Amino acid sequence: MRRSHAEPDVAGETQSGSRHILLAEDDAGLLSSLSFLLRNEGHRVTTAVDGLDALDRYEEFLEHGEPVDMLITDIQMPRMNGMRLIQSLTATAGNDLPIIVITGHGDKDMVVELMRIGCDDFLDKPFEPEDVRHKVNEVMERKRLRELAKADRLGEAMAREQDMAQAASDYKRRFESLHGQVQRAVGAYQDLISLKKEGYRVGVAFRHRPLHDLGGDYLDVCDTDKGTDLIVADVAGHDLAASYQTILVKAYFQENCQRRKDGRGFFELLNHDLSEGGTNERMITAVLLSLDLEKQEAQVVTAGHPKVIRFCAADQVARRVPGRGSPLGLSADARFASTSLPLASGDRLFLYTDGVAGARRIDGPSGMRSSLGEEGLVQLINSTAGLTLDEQVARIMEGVQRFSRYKQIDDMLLCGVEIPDL
Amino acid sequence: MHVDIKQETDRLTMRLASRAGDVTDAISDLRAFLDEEERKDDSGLVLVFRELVNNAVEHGNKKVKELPVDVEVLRLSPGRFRLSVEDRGAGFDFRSADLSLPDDPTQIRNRGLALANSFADELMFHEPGNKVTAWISLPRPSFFHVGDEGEWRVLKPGGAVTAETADDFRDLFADLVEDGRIKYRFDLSDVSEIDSIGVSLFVVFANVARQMSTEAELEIVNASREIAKLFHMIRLTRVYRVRERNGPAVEAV
Repeated sequence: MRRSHAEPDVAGETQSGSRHILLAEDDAGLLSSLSFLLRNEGHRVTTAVDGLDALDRYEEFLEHGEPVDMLITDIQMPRMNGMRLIQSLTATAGNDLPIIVITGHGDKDMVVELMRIGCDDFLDKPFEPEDVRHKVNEVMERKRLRELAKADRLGEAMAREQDMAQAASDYKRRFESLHGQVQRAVGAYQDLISLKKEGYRVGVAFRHRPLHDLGGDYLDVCDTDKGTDLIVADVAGHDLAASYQTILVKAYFQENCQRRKDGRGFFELLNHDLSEGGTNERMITAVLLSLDLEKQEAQVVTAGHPKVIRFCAADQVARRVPGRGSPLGLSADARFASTSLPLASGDRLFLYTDGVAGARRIDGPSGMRSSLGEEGLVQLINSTAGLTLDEQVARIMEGVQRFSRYKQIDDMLLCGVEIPDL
Repeated sequence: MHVDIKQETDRLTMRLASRAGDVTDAISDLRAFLDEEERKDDSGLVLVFRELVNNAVEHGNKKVKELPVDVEVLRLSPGRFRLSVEDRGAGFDFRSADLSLPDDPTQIRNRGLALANSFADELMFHEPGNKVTAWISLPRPSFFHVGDEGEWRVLKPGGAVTAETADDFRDLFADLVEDGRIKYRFDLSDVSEIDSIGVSLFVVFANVARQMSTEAELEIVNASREIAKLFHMIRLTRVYRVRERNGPAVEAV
């Protein structure tokens, strides 16, 4: 039976195993025998006499919803050869279309190129009907397996993704639980070192701007039988070890409040215990201010810390209190000196940390750095003298921040103390 | 594409339309203006540039694309720049602007100016607020010269030893203490500044060196007066022999 066009099947369906094959061959004899062979196998065959014709047919059937399942094409054809046909088709159809190329003597050197552009297999002239049958079935089987593998891989990929999503959610939950523990530890730490602002025998006001949640600067106040003791300490670092050292300082300070060792003795003890073990890499600078309201006198012991500033009510001038000493924790046998100063009602004393006096700015045009310094802080204190203690501390802190252009690189702590009527 | 780009060796001027695409292009031009060394760590400059130019486009010119934004980038010295951005808007009350960064990181979205401020050396607004000048320094890499002078290993930091550079130096320190070497000399000729973090590095070094040998000798030479004073004040002179530039030893160990 000869058919010049493929007759459309019912609703474009093909029976199982049978395919819609596009056959491009300019040799009329070969074209007719091949199409006869293939139709005998039950396939639906659309014929084309050259590359351009094949392209047209391909597009036509695609449009009508009866797409071609396989292409069998010769290489040497007028108007558009097999190579160009394959290139055009793979450009539009991708690599999905199975392609068999009919090769003759002399076409062999094109084989590599043909494979590269998407050809699946070859029919070498002259060939037997058996060869055609086998090749077609083989190519279709390979395509089927490829598709199965793709589905498998897709299935595998989806399963992997689900696993990962599950693992990610497990990790997230564990992180959240640990994070929660850390937050509670931070909360506990902050509770431990928190300080009430009033109720002491002297007026106290402070502002603290830490850089992190842990570690940083430390302030403690306790009333004694004679008056009030205050300590400001600067522990290097913001990790758990720093927090531990801060708690140690607090514990010793509070104990000392009861025992009433003098300032120097207290620092010597603390220093010795901090230096013990030799593995201590951190310095702690600290200043201890002991106020004796009965004797109307104060003792200042400094351990490598910025100087206390005293604002005299009498002459309304702020001055630094002299003093020097080694930081705590550097060497076990360090000795400390104590400075005495008289106290009068209305006097204010300021304790602070390095982050305040060391506040820095860079001048834009020149790039020069300058720091506030203890002198700069003295000026800020002088310029805010008439305010309440709390207001003054707040204003000084604002001034420091403005100086550093709101860029903070260290913890900042400023504490003001006001001597009441004696 | 924006118009009017003029690039001289140390000066770049641009006029942008108030359009997001122009801002992106402008950043490419900015990068092209930088030399190879500067481009290695230019993120601070790019951030300030982006924030200020976006501000000019969105808030100054209200995204009216016909209104131009004029930008000038001047290289004051390698790695130091002056940036000027001017829009055609009515300005704003810059004196009330809050330049501090909020503690809550989720709030940073609304703080373009605060971000620009934190990465610039200085920000200056001009009345009525439609022009801003920013000075930006690119970070300089920390480096360390290591050499030998007889029995002494000599270590010479290349710049400030402060919080910003401490991490770099700490990493370098770790490799410095060698078995068998017991004499270490720090040459602080090029060090203008040490802060408490920097000091702690010297403390750590001393501890490590002395752990390796109780005979370890430590020296600091060519220290500035301020730095020598600092070492003296915190009693590090008990561990290091400190010599000022142009002066005798501050204190014998």
